[in-house]
Amino acid sequence: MESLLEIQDLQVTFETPDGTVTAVDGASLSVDRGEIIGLVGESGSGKSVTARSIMGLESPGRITGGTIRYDGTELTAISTADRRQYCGSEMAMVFQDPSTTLNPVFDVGEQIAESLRLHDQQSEQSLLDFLQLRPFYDRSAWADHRTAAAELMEQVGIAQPEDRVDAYPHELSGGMCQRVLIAIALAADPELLIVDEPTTALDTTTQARIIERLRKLAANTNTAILVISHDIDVVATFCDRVAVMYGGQMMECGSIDNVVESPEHPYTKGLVDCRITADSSHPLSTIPGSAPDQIPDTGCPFATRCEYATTDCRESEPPDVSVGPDHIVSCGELNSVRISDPTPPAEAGKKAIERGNSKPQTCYDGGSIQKRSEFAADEDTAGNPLFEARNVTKQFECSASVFNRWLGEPQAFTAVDSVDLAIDRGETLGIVGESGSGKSTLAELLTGLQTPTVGEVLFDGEPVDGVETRSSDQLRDVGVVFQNPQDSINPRLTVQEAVAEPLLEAGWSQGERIARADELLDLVELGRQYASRRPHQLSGGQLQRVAIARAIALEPQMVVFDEPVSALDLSTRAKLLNVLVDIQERLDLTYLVISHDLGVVKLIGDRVAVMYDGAVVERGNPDHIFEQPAHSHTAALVAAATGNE
Amino acid sequence: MITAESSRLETIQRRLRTRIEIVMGMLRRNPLTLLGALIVCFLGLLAVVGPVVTPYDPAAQDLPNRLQPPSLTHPLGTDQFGRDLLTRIVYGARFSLGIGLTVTTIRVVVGTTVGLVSGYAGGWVDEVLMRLVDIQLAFPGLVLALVVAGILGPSLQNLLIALAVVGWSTYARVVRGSVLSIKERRYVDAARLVGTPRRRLFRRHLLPNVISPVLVIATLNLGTVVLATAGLSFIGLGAQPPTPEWGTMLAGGREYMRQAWWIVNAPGAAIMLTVLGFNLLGDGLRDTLDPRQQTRIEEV
Repeated sequence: MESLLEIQDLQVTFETPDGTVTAVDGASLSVDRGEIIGLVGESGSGKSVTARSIMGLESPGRITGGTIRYDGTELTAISTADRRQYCGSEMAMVFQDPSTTLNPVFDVGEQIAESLRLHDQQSEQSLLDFLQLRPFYDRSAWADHRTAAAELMEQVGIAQPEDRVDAYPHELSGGMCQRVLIAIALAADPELLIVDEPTTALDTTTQARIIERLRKLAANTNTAILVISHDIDVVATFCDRVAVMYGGQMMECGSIDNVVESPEHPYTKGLVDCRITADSSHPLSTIPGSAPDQIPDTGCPFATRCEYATTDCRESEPPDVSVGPDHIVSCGELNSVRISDPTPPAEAGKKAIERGNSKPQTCYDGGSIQKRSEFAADEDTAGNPLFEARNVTKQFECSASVFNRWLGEPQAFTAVDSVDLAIDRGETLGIVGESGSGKSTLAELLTGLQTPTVGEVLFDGEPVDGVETRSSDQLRDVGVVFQNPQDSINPRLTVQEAVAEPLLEAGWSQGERIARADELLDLVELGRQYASRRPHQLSGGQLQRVAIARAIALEPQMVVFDEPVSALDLSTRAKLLNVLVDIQERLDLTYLVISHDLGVVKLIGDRVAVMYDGAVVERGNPDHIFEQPAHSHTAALVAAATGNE
Repeated sequence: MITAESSRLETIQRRLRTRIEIVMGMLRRNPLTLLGALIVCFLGLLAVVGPVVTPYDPAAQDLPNRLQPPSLTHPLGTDQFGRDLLTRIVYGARFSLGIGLTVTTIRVVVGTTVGLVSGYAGGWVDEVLMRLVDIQLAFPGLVLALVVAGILGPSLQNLLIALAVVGWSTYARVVRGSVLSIKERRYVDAARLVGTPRRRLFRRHLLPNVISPVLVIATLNLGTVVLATAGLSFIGLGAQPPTPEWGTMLAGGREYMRQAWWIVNAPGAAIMLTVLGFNLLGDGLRDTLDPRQQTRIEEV
């Protein structure tokens, strides 16, 4: 039987001022009807460009070779106008960021109805229809489409769809918007649905719900779904088959069981190993090096980072080896990869299945690093804690209008609600919670970026207020690393200037600052050769290292991390977490780590506090919480982190 | 210490070099910007060295040679008093560019300061400053300048004051808007967390990130100011004859339009060329200073 979509040797190039850049270099992929297939790779591997090429959205790139056959039609050969017929009715795409993909000036029902309308009436929409002028315009059709839109919203799991059809995108949460996007894509009843990073913008519990919803849809309507993600965990819980992409080529392709549980390609092995699972411990295994900007002209693109690479790998294209039923690997050195692997793939796979959802540990050296405070689960720790929040509450005023404020009816939104928290010297406290649970506000209260409405914050036994009133000693003792690295480094400064900023404030001389910045860049394993670069020349992971270097520049006692790794690729995340733990060991730091991902907190946290709706609902040893969550919200987080429904 | 000093020097040199490369790259890609830059440079050169080179006195009357058409001795002809028009245009460039630069500088400094303070402080400070801006924006700029110049009396100096007073509100608005978004950036928080004093916060983190649009508006504004100067002088509120100011020259030559077309056309063309030059340059700057494009250029 012929597959629904067949991509052969696809080549896509981009013209840049620096010359032609190849984004996709001979990728092949086939999608059958009704199957869910994942396309995995780090950022820059060409997976999004491949998907956009299928939809005919490759511009500003250009397809320079290969074929895309959809249901027997060669898509690269037909005109744009002919091609448009395929978009929507045959295939549809859900883009990555729901907040920018939806049009903010129309309510969501209208946006779904538009998709319905376009594929209902084959004739072109008349101007009268578009303007919706009363006497000429058939109101009943409009009403029908609204009803259909509400039904679609119900299908994708939006509660109270009758009310929500009238909502504007800004009135809905990120997860809701993502569902609306899916509803728009489904409106035309496509045969193939392409979903680009369906869950990256969402927190773990919402992720799980959306994945579940899409799986059900695929089963009910026999729609093929192509899922693009950098997160192999998402793909593993979601898909039947998976294709691993690197440097614009397919590295490995096969069923989920084959690829994720017994990966053959060194790159896939790396990706699978750097996941955080229930049994992960420091140090996480990583893929050495980082993705190059340019794909080499000849040979395997992964050869520069592969420990098994030979001259053959670099000089000739790797062969496609079929290692089993529905399992193709593009690697010329499979034999040496297998020999050096301590566990034969079949056995490793079995072990992985037994453990439910885990991975073979390759780098763990047998527990040289012990969790320091195994039994520090209760809050009354001995001695004086380094950082303490006593009954801290933060309210934001959110009156509906100026008049309400004048009339003296202040409406307050409580972001943080009577939180007591203590952090001991040398420990790592993790705070987990969904977005909107108040964990970031709590961090801002502790660091002094916000001042509490009620309660007090104590640092080293002394009450501290906002940053403006803290002494320079108190300021230098707390370093902060924020979530979005692009946002936290001034784009106008060089890396060196950014790192040296705290030193400048502390009155160090120019020479001392340069020397210290170099030292710090080495410490965060970025390297001093980056000192003169500008932020836009660095990747997200590299920028986050710069932010960490800046936070530890003055040797603080404590570092607060607000979602330090959630904006990063899996392999980058693993590397960064390793760096974090190493630095803590070396500098004897106290960490406060805030994350929506329980896996991250469990990995590096000694104790964990779970926040929900502004309050701490559960706290204790992360391993205990993982095994026996007491609060229902914690249970949901645990389920999301382990991928179990 | 010496190595640190030399490395610092090196950094500055390298930065200067990349700046120059950016500018050159921009000009190469966009020929219209290049044209604008050439016109502006040419006018600047004219204003600086022109008066030194020219053999005539801009104010000396030579009545036997009045209303001479363009010739080799008088490339742009002479006016109703026999003064060489080219000489007067060249001297006029000094006035126009001088006033343009001074007025724009004052507007930029005042407007940017107001915008920075207003955006960062917020609250009642913001409220007061922005209502001031609103009041100013409620008057048509040129009319307000007319009133100010009328009250202060007609002279070049008063004209300068009048123009400086009316135009800064645009800058304040633009800068305030940018500051509002930039002060929410995490790098500003990070700077606050290491105890950066407010002055340095402004200088290092806010100002460099809001200045690009200001530069663009300032360049486009230069042309407008030159035009406004000429306009106010034309109706007699600015430079007084015999000052070789372009607007004044236009006013003087108006009566002779039918007999001697060159008297009005020479300053007219000069004004047009100046405004065109600044506008082309400003448009080019706007395209280049878009941060995403700058990324591309710096990476080259």
